Amino acid sequence: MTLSVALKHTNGIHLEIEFECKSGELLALVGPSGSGKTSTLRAIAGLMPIEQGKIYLLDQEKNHIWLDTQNHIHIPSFERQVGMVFQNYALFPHLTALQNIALALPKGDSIEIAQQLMEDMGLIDFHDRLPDQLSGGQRQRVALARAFARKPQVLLLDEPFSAVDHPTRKTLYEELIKLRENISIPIVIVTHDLREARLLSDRLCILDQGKSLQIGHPEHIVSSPRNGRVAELVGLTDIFSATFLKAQHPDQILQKQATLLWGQGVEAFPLTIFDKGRLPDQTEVKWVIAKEFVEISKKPFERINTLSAKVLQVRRLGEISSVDFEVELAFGPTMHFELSTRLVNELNIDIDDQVFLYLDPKGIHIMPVYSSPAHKEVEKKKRDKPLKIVAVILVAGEGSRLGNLPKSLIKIDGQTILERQLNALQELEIEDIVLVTGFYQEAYKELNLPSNVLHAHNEQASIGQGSSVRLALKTVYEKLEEVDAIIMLLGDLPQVNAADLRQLIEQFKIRSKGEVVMPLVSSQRGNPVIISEKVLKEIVSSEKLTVRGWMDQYPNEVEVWQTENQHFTFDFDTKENIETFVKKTGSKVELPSKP
Amino acid sequence: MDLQALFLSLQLATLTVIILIPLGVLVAHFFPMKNTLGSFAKEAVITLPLVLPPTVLGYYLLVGFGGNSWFGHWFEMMTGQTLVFSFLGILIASLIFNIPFALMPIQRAFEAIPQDLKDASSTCGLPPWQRLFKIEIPLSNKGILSAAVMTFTHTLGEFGVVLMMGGNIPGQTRTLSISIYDSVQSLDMQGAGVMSMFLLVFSFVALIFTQRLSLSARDFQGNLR
Repeated sequence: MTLSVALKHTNGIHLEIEFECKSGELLALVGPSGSGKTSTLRAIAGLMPIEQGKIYLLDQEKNHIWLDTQNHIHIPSFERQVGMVFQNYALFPHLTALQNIALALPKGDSIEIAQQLMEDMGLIDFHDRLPDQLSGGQRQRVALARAFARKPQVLLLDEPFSAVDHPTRKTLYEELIKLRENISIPIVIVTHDLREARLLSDRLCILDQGKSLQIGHPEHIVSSPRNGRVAELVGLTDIFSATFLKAQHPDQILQKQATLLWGQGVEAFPLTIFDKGRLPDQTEVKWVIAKEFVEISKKPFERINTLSAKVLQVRRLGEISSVDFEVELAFGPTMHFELSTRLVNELNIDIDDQVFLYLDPKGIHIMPVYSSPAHKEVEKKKRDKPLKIVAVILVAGEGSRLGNLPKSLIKIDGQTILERQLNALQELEIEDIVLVTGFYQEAYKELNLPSNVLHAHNEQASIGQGSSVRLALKTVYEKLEEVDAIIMLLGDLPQVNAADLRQLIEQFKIRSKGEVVMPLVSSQRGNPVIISEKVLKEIVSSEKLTVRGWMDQYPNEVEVWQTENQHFTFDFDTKENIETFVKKTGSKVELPSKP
Repeated sequence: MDLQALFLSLQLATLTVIILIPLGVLVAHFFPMKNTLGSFAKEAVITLPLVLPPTVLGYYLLVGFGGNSWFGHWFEMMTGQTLVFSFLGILIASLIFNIPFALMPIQRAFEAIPQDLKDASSTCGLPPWQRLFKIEIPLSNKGILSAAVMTFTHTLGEFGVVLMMGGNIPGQTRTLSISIYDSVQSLDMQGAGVMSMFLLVFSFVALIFTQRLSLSARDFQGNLR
């Protein structure tokens, strides 16, 4: 016999579930609360009306149809032969244990069958007890016996072990495992406990927001989750973001290799992986590595995929030790390992030691970032909405730490930062640009700025950046119409490019709250920020407010966008700064002549 | 003490309980409280007799069941007697007037049964009728009993609507409370005192009983959850 379930429901509870469960198989529905596990079980039992769906029991001799909305078949719950164990057992409080079981017996069966069931469950002396005179474990057994009394074709267990203490739970696990040897019907169990599910079930069905994300053997799901959400739900730690790049070099293609760019921007680290040909180039992915594929050593490996790391923590827990490493990349990712204490001793590692990690490409599993279809739809709608965006470029500063020079005129590979920024804005088709100058006004006047750039000059630039910000917004308010959002771009951000700005605008479009979106790069405030027209009005109509001031005053209105992109925080502040930049990127940097 | 009036009151109260309580059980089973407008309207109708002045109710009963109404007319044609100023008339009035006292406690008791237990009865293979008799009624027996006691006591004490619908015919419509009114009117203060004391003590004891029931009903819920 095979239980085949396909459900679709949108009103109130969202469900989009499909699975099969064979005789003798135990399928675990796993997911966070509200993911639709219990609703699915209730639908199978016929306790919940379903808009669209099929529930079939396929048998060699006879097929039973419990639900087929297309053909208007809906067998009521009391006519479906299901044995169900409820989360709190749902024993009838006014009936004794034996009466509870006898109630579920099919017509014509004698009470002796109920007595036999109690005996099988080890409940010989409890016939006449009421449910509240039984312990948690005993109640659970009565509930299970009651489910069996119905002579079920399917057994449904709704979090059956959540209401008992730990030792009892262990005994009950063993009993269920034994019990399974004697019955051959499909068993569906709902649990939020992944360990329990892995221990008991033959297959897992991972649910999230009413949708079945992945069905398969527990070990398989854990070692190769289909997407980032599944990985999170099955409790994998160390899930990292990266960009998947298809191989360009013929040798690499031949060896079916690809590159995983871990992190973003110049700090990203390329990892070599195997290309299974499932993902297109430049896909944003999550990746995990099965820890048995990581080698640890105090000496560097002369191989690809070798990373240096620092030991953050070593906790010896008997045979096993838990060790945390911080990988030495700019965004400081950490990796957690459970190693045998013997290995830890052999490696002789302690806190702050430097080690090298070799990540075997075979063990790296990548998956596309998952978002639910409903969520995707909403985001798409928001994205498709055209916004009129204005950019404000602030170049009023003195650049004193670099020795008084206009920082936005620093040339990188022959192009000034300002030119690079203007090009980026042009690429994004942002036409309305306000440039605010202060110091070195003359130097900017000499430039041949495009005609669409509105120029405002701040006489009082020495007071500080706030006055330039206010002047800029005032200019936007007075000279431009129907503005939806303003990007506040600092003139000394050398790396921000069109892609970065596009991401920022996307984040602004899909924001759920707030009027400002600010990039946050590992807890450091980034630039530029993007503000809504509402903030513009409030700042212009106030006496002193600046964008930073407004953000401090209304922290709830600020939506922080967590990113690893260093472009948003890197600026040319000091000479050393420029030197490291040159070293890392190999670009040529020319300082402008002092005015 | 007007024994005839006492007997009539007891008769009226018993019949009201016998008719109204099963009705209340059926309503609670078939129309459980839901978050819909219809359900709220039903609740409002059930509660209405509680807030309406008895005279208003009596007025509409007279208009609805009197000889000039189509129902009263039809009833007179069929049976040869009028509904107004008859025992049957005050029984109907009593039934309507007692709807909140009978239905509300039963409704609450049914609602207090956890959904899980109702679901479990279904997965145990009990069709709705068996669920009613094997699960719902036994689990709400305290609510049902308390509804019966309240309805009985309240019927003994009702006055306005009975007077409007039934008048004051000895052996037919003169209930205990009307008899008290009568005694006072004819300055028989002693007779009125005895009957009043009887109703006072009876109601007091009945209330103690229902309080005790409702407390244990709370315990029962607490244990379940």
